[in-house]
Amino acid sequence: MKNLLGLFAETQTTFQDTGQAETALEDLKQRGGLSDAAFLITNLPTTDGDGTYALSTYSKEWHKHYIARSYLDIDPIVQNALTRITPFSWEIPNPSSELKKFFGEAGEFGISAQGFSVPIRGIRGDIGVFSISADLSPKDWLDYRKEMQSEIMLLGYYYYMACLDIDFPENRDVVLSPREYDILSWAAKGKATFTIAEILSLSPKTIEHYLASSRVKLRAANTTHAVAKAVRWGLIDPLG
Amino acid sequence: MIVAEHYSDANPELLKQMFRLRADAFGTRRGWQVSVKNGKECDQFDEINPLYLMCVDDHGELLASLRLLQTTGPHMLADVFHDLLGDEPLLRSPLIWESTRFCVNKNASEIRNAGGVNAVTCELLEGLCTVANKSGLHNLVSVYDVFMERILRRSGCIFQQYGRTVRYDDGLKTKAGIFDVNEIAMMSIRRAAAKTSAPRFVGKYWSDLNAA
Repeated sequence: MKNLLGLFAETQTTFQDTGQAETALEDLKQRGGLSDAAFLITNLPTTDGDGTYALSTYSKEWHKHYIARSYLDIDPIVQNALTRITPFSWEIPNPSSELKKFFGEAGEFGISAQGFSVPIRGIRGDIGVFSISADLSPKDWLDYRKEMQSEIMLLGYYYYMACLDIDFPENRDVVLSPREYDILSWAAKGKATFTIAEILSLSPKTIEHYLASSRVKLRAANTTHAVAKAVRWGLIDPLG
Repeated sequence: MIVAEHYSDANPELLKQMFRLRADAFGTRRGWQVSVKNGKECDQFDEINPLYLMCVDDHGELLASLRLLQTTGPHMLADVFHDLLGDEPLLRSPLIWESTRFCVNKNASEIRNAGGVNAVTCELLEGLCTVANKSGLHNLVSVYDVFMERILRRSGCIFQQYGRTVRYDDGLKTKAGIFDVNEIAMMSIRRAAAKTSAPRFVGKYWSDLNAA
């Protein structure tokens, strides 16, 4: 499987509408080698609509079936995300007969039972959950999860933030703190972490912290990407 | 052993012990302005499904506990202690969680390690670092006062202050700090506790993390 975070971050990290958001999931599925990708957000304080929307690469038939059976109430992935803050895999030990039926039916619609979800608590009282599923061998899937756990958590958050932009355009604003600005500017000039640390009389660990926070603010997959975005948006001046 | 559970999964008796311990530790002993009802301390952050880590003995008695929140949403540094930030930007990252309401049941254990730190404190700190590491986090953030700071240092925690120092109502100098949760940090805590084995973990979340 590919580097999903890079695939997403280097394409588009903001959406104007749910159509774009859904296209991005399809893109991630195709180019990332996934079975499916899905996103749910709920409790958004929007002025219109009910503050909930669900996007996925699942078939329209499954979506219809899901709504008709009110599966939102028993879907363990949704229920888990609403009551827990920790990332989780979909394997349920000792599933009830109701859940067995749910997973059985999902399987008939081609949905892989091998999935991983990242719940996200937002600042507006909203809750998002980003999920991926893949048809790998159990061992490969476990290895992938262990290796890519942090990246998938970042991906989930970046995707969530891109969706938030739809209803809350101010969410797109990026403000770098003075330290983030200084450090990213030095990185733009090609300085390595230890050099920047010397220049600013800070520890390399501190430099790494601000580079990480800059990457998250800019929704970047790595520092090079963060620098490129910051320059493109006029947030730093590489010639200054 | 360490129980890592959310409100919806945890043993109700254990949760009751935790909220009572918190009422005693923060309401009674430290005299903080916390909300105590029926001998239990709870706040708005308990309502957004945090992850609780509870150190429990073989008889099921609670020895120590803490609470973990995502920094992408409401948390204490952002919503209660923002004074501590000073010129620093608010931390918002899926890879940084906040640890709060760290308390130890003084009646339950007085065993101290070579560094003079309560063995239960060490166990919970090692548990915290391990859970954070296994969850894919890069750091933890926490607010602490000067007394807690000394304990954290002597327990081998690796952390740096973030923001400025503020003296709150209880007169104590308070700071926010960013903690490492990598292998080095875990080893440092284990070394300070003079132990060779990891704590024993139980709970649905722990099983999830280590699913084979």
